[in-house]
This record gives sequence, C-alpha cells and structure tokens, in this order.
Amino acid sequence: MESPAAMRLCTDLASARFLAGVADGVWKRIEGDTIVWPFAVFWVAAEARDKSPTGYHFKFDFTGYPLVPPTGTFWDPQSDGELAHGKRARGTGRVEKIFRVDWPDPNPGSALYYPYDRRGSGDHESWKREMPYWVWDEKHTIVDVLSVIHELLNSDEYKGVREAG
Amino acid sequence: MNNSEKDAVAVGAISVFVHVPGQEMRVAIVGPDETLRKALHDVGIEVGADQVVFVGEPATTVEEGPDREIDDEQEPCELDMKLSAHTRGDKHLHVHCHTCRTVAVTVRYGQHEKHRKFSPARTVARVRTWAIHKFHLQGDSASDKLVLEICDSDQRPRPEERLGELVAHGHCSICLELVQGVAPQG
Repeated sequence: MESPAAMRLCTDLASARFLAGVADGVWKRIEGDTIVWPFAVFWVAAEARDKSPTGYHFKFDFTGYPLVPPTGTFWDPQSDGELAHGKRARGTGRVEKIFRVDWPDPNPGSALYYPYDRRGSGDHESWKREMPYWVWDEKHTIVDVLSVIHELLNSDEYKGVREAG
Repeated sequence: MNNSEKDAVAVGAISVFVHVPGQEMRVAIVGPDETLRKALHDVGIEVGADQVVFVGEPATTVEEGPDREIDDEQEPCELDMKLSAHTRGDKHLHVHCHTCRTVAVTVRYGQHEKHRKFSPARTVARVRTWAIHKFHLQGDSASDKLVLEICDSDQRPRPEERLGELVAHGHCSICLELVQGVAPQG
C-alpha cells in the first residue's frame, strides 16, 4: 500500500495545475527504473540563453510530503547523479542565491536555498518572517516548487549555464 | 478517467484548462468535435448570462510602448462552436470564465501609479512586462529583481496566474505593486 505522502504526490501530479504546465511545455515528470519513491525527477524549461540548455532536471526527495516541502537539486539523467556545478544555472539576485553551490555543508549544492526546500527551510526559521509569501504549509504542492523554479529560470536574473559564463 | 474521457482520447482529445475566479483550475478532456459549452459542463460549469468566456490570452502584445498602447478588447468566445475551431491544431487550450470583460489594473512603483485595462485572461507575467515598460525600467539591471505584489498585502501572485483569478469576487479591478524580489539570506 502506498504511503500517504506518495498518494498525495500522485493526486498533485494529476491536478489541472500540474497538467497545464505539462501541456504548456514548462515542466514535466521524468520517469525511469532508477527513480523510486520517495524520489521523483522533473524537467523545467528555461528561457533561451547563449550556450545554455532549454531546461534543467531536478530530483526531489518527498519524504514527509506535503507536511514538509521536498528537498532536492539539479539532476543529471545521463549519470543518474547530481548535476555537475558547472552545468547548473547561474544568475544574479534570487537565482544566484537559490541555486548556490556553496551550501549546505556537507555536500554543497545538494539542496535549493529557499523556503520550499526542506533542507533550506529547516535551517532558516527567520525566512517565514522575511518571505511571508513563501511559507510552506500542507496546502502547497510540487506545482508550487516547480512554479518558483520556472519563474527563476525565465526571469531576467537568469544568465544561463555556469560553464558558459 | 471516465468513459467519455476514454472516448475522447481515442479520437485525439483536447485538454481544456478552465480558470474560474476564486477556484482551483479544472481540466476537461474532450473530443475535438465537442463544444466548449460541453467541456465546461463536464467540469460542473454552466455559463450564466452575466458571465463571459475567453479562450487564451489576447493576441496583442503588451510591450508596444506607452504611446501606442490600447486597452485589451478581447472578444468573448462562442460557446457552441467546436473545440477544434478554437484550438487551431493544438491539443490544449486555456479558458477563462468571468463576470468582467476587462480588469482595471493599477500598478504602483514607488510614489507613482500606472493604469490600464486588461483581459481577465492576461497572466501576471504579461502585466509585469507591461509595467516594466510603462515605468521605463527595461534594460535597467535593478528591474531584474522587481516582482508584482498585491497592494497592501504580502501576497505575490505566481507569474502564470491570470488576472481574472486574482480579482476579488464582485470586483473588476486590482491594485498591484512592483517590489523587490528578495533573495534568501542568512
């Protein structure tokens, strides 16, 4: 029998909001034999930048979802491991901070530095006060996570892949 | 998937994403020969006499410049036309049900305000683009970090949200403010 977290993720992936993003070409779920619960992999489209990909993969751990947000980072489907730092997105402002590769310790770059990541939110209680529009509760879904990542990758703050910079 | 949805898939289904103020987006999966009225009925929506329905965002851009802009004049769609006439070959479309033909938008930036009427089908991202142009902020690196927030609140609508989803029930106007998108610190 599936766990409540797995059932909730299935429900959220069948939501109109998620399916609209798939239909619009802004994100999609990637399935494969090596991707098993509590993990799931998604691809998110990025605005065109010189020598940069059309999008990036992310792998998330959904343990405890949706009471706590997932945690995860850029993923390389070829090596089935975390994406090399040089192949990740770079930018200014929010993009620079949220996609930082010098945090957490140990294993820098293994989580996203914002309140919709379990690792980030767990270490930063002050973020609830500083960013009240990004406070996670059980009404939030994977679509909120993908929506923020898509916003960042399609913002003026996104400057392309790191190794092209 | 119910039987009618299975039938629709078999003949090249169209996904109709329905946006309604104050409610979760819904999706109807129907065949191309069905009407928009049927698709809305399938997700529990009967269009009232006081409502208009728009398909997609207006075709016009928002970035023409302050001297050439005109308010959105998106025509409501014909509910009894076949869906295939609306999609022009696409396999999905976004439909917006609303009581307002336009939404009067005020965008604040510092002490200044700009105004324009938009279709309820316009996305927050497009309104931000217009506001950046209207305040002559394009090309300014400081504008990279500007996002829209609902005035006098801490709510920041998602870029893909439609204006029609944001306005309060019974209203056809909204006030938004350009504010700095704060990067997490600490």
